[in-house]
Amino acid sequence: MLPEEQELIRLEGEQAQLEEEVTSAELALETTKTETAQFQHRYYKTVGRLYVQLDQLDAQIANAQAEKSPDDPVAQARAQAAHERARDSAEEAGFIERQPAPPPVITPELKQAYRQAAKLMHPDRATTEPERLRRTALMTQVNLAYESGDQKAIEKLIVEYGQDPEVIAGTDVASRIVKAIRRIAQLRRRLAEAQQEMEAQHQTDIFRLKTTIEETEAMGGDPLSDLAQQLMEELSERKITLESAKHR
Amino acid sequence: MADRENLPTKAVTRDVAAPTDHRGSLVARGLFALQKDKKREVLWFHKVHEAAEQGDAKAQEELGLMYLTGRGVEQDDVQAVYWYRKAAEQGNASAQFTLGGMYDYGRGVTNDDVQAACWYRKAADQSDVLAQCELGCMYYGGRGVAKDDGQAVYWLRKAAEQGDTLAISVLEGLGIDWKNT
Repeated sequence: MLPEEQELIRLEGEQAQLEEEVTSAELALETTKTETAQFQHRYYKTVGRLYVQLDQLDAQIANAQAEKSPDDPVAQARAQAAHERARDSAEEAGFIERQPAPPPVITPELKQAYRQAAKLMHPDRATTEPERLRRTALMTQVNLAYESGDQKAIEKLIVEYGQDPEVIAGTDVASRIVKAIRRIAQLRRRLAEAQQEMEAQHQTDIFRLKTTIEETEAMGGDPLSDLAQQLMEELSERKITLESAKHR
Repeated sequence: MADRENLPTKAVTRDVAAPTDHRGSLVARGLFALQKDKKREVLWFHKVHEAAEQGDAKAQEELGLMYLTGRGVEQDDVQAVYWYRKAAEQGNASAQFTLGGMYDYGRGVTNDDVQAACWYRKAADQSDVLAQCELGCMYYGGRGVAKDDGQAVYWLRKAAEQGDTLAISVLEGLGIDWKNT
């Protein structure tokens, strides 16, 4: 066997192993995200909704007090702040629709990045049908990134375009070696990205809340119910406060 | 010789980490509420107790800390010493250090400098930086061991090399250039 053929076998072996690793890492990440989202849903349904009610009662109490003293700027400001907090909480728990994010700012740099990407990847510049399809798919991603003002994503697509293994069409050993090298580099990037994202997931409050709750549940506790119980007691206290605020 | 203000302990309790989001999101509020959840602490205490009974040195050390700080259980220095000793006898360096501290400060046991130095020594031999510093101080003051300035500097320098600020300031106070020689 020729030395370059041996090298190709080695590279393809490395590529296969990396593919396996990337699949596992991405699967683990998606699983974590889904499980966290499920937990979040459960949390909002059991405990979150009580915090929302609590904030709404606080807003009503502050409002009742503000109505009694219309000339007191502090009472007015408090009522406004309590109202905003109640709205934020309801939004977070998904009880009212979140206000749409403001449209992104189109900076000159963003435009510049878009131009560069379009020049490189435009489907019209393709000479073969598969190449045209590949470019069309990439441009769709560039357009999406531009619409959301994501300059970094466009820059990443440009880099990836230049190193895309799929461009290499030849089936000779040399072409296959280059293709494998590019594919390996691409896989390493994806692996690093998945690992970083997993790390970031672990740092989020919702993930830490989930871990703590699940740990306590594994020990035989029922922390979500305990928390709900405690909040319900606070709610009945608030209701009394609200009544007296109204009638004083 | 400089003494630390409180009995130092090093076991890491499994605590709920403080929320990173301080804007008061519903999730951060839940995390915050759990930090104060006494029921959770009691459950955790039982879990650690079970593992400690089965001979897990880390659990024994943690149980010692729970008794010492009164988390999940009624504060009890005698029980703390009991569990720290179990872990220390299994070679757990930070438990050896804390047990030395219990003798040093006379908590849960009668004050005994010889015992304190003995346990600090065991931990110091395992590169426990706080124990190295305490042992150095005991040699310098001739407490629990015969006064020996050479040994004092030897152990203080070891701690200083690991970045222990107390050891560094003690050595500097003695006018010793610990970075060289």
